[in-house]
Amino acid sequence: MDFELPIESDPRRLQVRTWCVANPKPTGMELARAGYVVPHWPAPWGLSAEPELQLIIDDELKRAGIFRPNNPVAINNCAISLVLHGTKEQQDRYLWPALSGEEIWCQLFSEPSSGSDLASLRTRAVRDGEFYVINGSKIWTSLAHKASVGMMVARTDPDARKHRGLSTFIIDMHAPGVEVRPIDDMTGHPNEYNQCFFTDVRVPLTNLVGEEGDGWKISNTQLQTERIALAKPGAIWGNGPSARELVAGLHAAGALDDPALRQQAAELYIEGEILRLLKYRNLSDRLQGRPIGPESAVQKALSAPHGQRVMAMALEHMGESGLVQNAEPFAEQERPGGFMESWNWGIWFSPAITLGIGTTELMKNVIAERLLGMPRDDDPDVRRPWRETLKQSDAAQTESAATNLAHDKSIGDGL
Amino acid sequence: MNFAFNADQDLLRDSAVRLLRDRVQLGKITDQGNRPDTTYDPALWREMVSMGWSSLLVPEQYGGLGLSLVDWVVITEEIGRTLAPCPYLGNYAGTLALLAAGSEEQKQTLLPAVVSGTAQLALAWNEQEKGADHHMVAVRFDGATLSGKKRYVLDADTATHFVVSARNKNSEITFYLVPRNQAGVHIDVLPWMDVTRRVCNVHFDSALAETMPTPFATAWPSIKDGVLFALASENAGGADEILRKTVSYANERKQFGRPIASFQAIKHKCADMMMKVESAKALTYYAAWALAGNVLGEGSNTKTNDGPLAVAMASSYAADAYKVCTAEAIQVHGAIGFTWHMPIHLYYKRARANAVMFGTSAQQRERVIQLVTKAPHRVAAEHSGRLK
Repeated sequence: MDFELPIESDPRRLQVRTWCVANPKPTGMELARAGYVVPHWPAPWGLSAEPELQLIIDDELKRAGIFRPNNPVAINNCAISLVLHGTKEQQDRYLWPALSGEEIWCQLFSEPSSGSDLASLRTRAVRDGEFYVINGSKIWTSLAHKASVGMMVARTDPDARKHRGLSTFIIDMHAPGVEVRPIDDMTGHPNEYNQCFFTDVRVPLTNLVGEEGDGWKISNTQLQTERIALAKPGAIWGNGPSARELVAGLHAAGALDDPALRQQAAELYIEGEILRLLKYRNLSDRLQGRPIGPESAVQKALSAPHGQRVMAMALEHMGESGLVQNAEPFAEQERPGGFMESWNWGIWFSPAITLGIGTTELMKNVIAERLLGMPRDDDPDVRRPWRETLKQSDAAQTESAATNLAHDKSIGDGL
Repeated sequence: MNFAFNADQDLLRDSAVRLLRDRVQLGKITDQGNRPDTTYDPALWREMVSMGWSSLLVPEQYGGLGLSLVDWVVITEEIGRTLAPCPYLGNYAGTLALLAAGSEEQKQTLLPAVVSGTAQLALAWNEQEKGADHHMVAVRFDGATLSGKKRYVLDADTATHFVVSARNKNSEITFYLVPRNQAGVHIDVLPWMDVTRRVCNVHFDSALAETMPTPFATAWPSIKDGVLFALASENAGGADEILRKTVSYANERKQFGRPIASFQAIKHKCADMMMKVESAKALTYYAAWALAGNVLGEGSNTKTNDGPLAVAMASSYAADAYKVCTAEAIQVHGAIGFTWHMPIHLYYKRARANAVMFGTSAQQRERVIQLVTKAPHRVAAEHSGRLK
């Protein structure tokens, strides 16, 4: 057991350091061309870097004060799909602008009626000559209001089974028929999420990623190619303030004289350290080339509720003053990095963290079914053509609308 | 960076699993009805000794294997998993105390016998009826002999020597080495609810005793942390085993025409248990690493002195996790889980005994806060990805 990173004189470190000295203020494109934006990818975009080299590059960039281009959806999530499944033309057209941050991406997956059950999505892509015509709506789309490229999963074949009739497309977010509406969320801060509407949006055939019907497979492989990164201990999906910072703030404020608060603070501190250790174990497994252990799913299921408890304690600490807009619990703490690093945003955003990136309930299903071998929940839709599910659900909706109407009417008659 | 056990440690675990799986038969306890005469298996303990478990942490100069807590944790976890009724824990506590407080001569004389199994140690420190407090010591040493009563002494009845805390003529607390085989030592085996463990009260009545030179205040913290660590790792192993048993039962038990494991209420209970188990393991492994060398003074751990914090976190978390997991195990098993015949109650009781024997989880959480608020780097802003 060993918790240290590769040593200072490691030749791989020195190589990265030399580059950083020669390029003290690199552009996004320079960083991308050096392979430092996605070192774990193959050439020409990456360096096929083994996990340890990925960590070294992170560490050296951080020390040199060099930041990667800010295009998280492309860099951390979506763009890998083009490497694995895209055509040469798609790779040439989209990857460099994505990695350099010149074109911001968004991910068009969730829909109003398809949250946890993503494969039930209804957005249609219908072939029309050299185009697919897209109609439908996507929701909870981060960055859609800034993005010029969207990666979408839509249904191309409603006669295929639920997971089989889906396909992946590259969408021009400025194309006619695309409308992006911000969703004002409960934080009261500028919008993080959007709803996108697609009305007869014409997408060239060349923007289909992989084959028709590959959509589910592609979105799954995307999830399995995460970059290795050092544990980020923040309470909001790894970002924002941490339990350590909560304890520091409470201590500095003299709030830890209360024995009950001391116990609560200790519990949160310990949870924070557990999450840190689970991330290290996960990281260590990957560094040693072992299959990823149960830590990953466990860590995800633990971290969101933990983040909510951290934020709840920070809010309670402020008492009445915490209800004033933009109130910060620990005024003396420096929190560089914008409002999303603030306590205040974390406090009011925290109800969302057990929902986004998979609800805590889904995470527990994953633990029970995949790690503990308990029976999977049956989804009757999986084995039949999607069109049948659609018919049944539309019929049910009509019926329930009729019942409601009759009910309203009978109440009206009673009055 | 490697946060995993090495090949030797994996082998050690394999050998522990094999021995314990073959030899520990909890069925002997659960089949006896609710008044088992004896739960101890002296032959099991002899085999453990022959496999080096009593010598694992003893330095090589005293005939031991001189291994570290990172090696030891794989064994304590497996012992916790099987409940292994044997005097390993009392002997371990006594060994820690002898190493921490004993003179060179005392160590030279006694440790080789501990290694070979001809001697077995026990640690007698607690005098409170409830709420253990190592400061509350009334047992007195008159210059040659020791008198007074110690409570809740682990594995006293099979011990050959006791390490006992007592006050000298200046009223200072000191450790003494007391051979068991003399008229002035009387042992009452308590009717302990955790029947897989032997817990005793020990009366000393002018028992001959030898002073141990290291001051109590110097020796005690590492002894206590060493025992808390072993308990935490037992708790993690026991909770893991009870989770395994619970999932296995839920997969088999059918109600309403399907396995109860297919109900989400049951799945989520089990997922919650697994989250606790993995957390407890992560903390105990880290505690092993952080404590390695510190407890036994091997001096191998120069990287950090996070041992006390790590063990306080592991101890408080794993104790509570084990209590919750064993309670949930009974709930998922339903009424059958409440019977003597099923082994669940043995784990349930072990969890509750372990949770109080060297202080409570609340006391350890209090210690966590004391330690982290005294160490600014422990609560500093998160600029470094490193653990320390």
